Amino acid sequence: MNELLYKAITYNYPETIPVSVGIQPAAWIRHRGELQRLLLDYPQFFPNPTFDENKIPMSEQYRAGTHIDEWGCVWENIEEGMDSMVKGHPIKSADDIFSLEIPKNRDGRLPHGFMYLRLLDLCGFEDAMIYFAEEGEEIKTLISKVLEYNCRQIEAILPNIDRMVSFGDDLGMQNGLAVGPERWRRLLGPCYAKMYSIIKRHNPETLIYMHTDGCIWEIMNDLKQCGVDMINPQFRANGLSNLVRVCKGKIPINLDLDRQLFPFGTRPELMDHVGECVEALYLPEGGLGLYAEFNRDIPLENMAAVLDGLEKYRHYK
Amino acid sequence: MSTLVQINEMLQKGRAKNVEELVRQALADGLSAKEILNDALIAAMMEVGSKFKENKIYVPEVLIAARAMNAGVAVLKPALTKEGVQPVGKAIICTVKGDLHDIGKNLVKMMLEGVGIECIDLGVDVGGDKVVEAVRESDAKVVCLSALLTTTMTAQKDIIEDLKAAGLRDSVKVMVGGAPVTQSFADSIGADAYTVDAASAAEVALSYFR
Repeated sequence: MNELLYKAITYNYPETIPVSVGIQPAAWIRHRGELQRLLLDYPQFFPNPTFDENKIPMSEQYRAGTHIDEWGCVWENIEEGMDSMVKGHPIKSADDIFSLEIPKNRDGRLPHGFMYLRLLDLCGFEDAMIYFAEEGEEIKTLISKVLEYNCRQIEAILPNIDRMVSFGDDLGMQNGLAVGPERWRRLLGPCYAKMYSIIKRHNPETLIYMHTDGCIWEIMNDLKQCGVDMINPQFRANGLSNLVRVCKGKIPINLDLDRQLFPFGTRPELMDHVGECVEALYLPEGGLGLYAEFNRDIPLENMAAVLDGLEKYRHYK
Repeated sequence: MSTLVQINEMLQKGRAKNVEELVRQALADGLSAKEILNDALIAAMMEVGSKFKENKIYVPEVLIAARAMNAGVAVLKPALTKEGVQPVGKAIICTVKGDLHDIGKNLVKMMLEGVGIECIDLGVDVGGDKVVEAVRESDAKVVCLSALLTTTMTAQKDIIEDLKAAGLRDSVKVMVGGAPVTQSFADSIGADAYTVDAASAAEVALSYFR
């Protein structure tokens, strides 16, 4: 973790706003050497942008084709470099929940979608929602099994934990939580609290960073209560006014800038977008980081505009 | 309390078995299948849609209500056929080429069926050729195109262009939706409608059949 981000999370007056940029494998596949040449112009964000034509950094998650994970979920991807998604769910009936075996691996692997999304991946969205509606033994057993696995995986990483641990789980849809905030607090909030408490018990100084897509502003304070020290929320799904109201000076965020604007915005619009966010959320003491994610549909000139916006506004006072 | 009111209440609570029993009872009492469908089942699902839109209920409640609706319609089906009751209309629905996401599409489908619209679901990763073929082969008046990604939303435009090229654009209303889609994007690609949520999509689709 870089020092600026640490200062931002702990409200310790970072000299500039911390900036991070994620580049999806599909963007490398599309732009290749041209993208590397662009990144060389921004050494402040990319100190060492190495690109190997034959070795684009890509986990299994981004490979085209099918793979099966430790829970038996079947992932499919129709385009190399894009994100896979689960299309085969191991739980076909309520009986399958009770006979579901917790994977045996204890390697600390907790991929994106480790708790809430895992429930959906195991059952399929619609069946999972039905189990949530019923709030019977099915959903409680399923949650308990996933939680048990996750707690063991967290225990496995404890010896290697640095100053911060990152988690990712998309809790929101575009307009809110699929299960609603109250049901989330009843059934899911305690899971995150239990998992993160393992880390905090091990070392109270360890910071917990959590990425979540979707509209989640209603439970951001709950996430903080669960032990999350910095949330990585999306700009568009949550709305800037909600983020200001809920987070500014209270919950540190690493703001996921508007990925849905990046492919289509003009240069002034993209730079203004960064400026608008910073002007609304900046505090000298911290609590704010800026994150931009580039996918293959973003033209290089738009990436440059976002990067120029980040460079301009990270010095904002 | 009348049987129709009871059906409505049970459906909104997602009590599928109660809905089945009450629909049987209503038929036995001599109510017409059309009346039961429109005044109880569809009326209840419209109420569910409104509450969902206002965040008074959430996806789990919508799904169990839709399950109860399906249970009621299954009981009603022979009587609907006998009475010659037709669906409000037909809609084609799919997630566009390159995109495997189906949660939003399925929610919209559920809402459309809830207001009595028959859906022809083409699935995910669907290109213009399949949509054109489905429009040709059916008497669908609405085409709903879903996309979750900025990388795939432009495929909505491609499908509209394919419909134009096939001479079918004017025979259908094209509705678009999905997380990255906006009204201005919908306008720019020549869609007839964009809605922000599944319940609104059902309302707009229904308006095209009235």
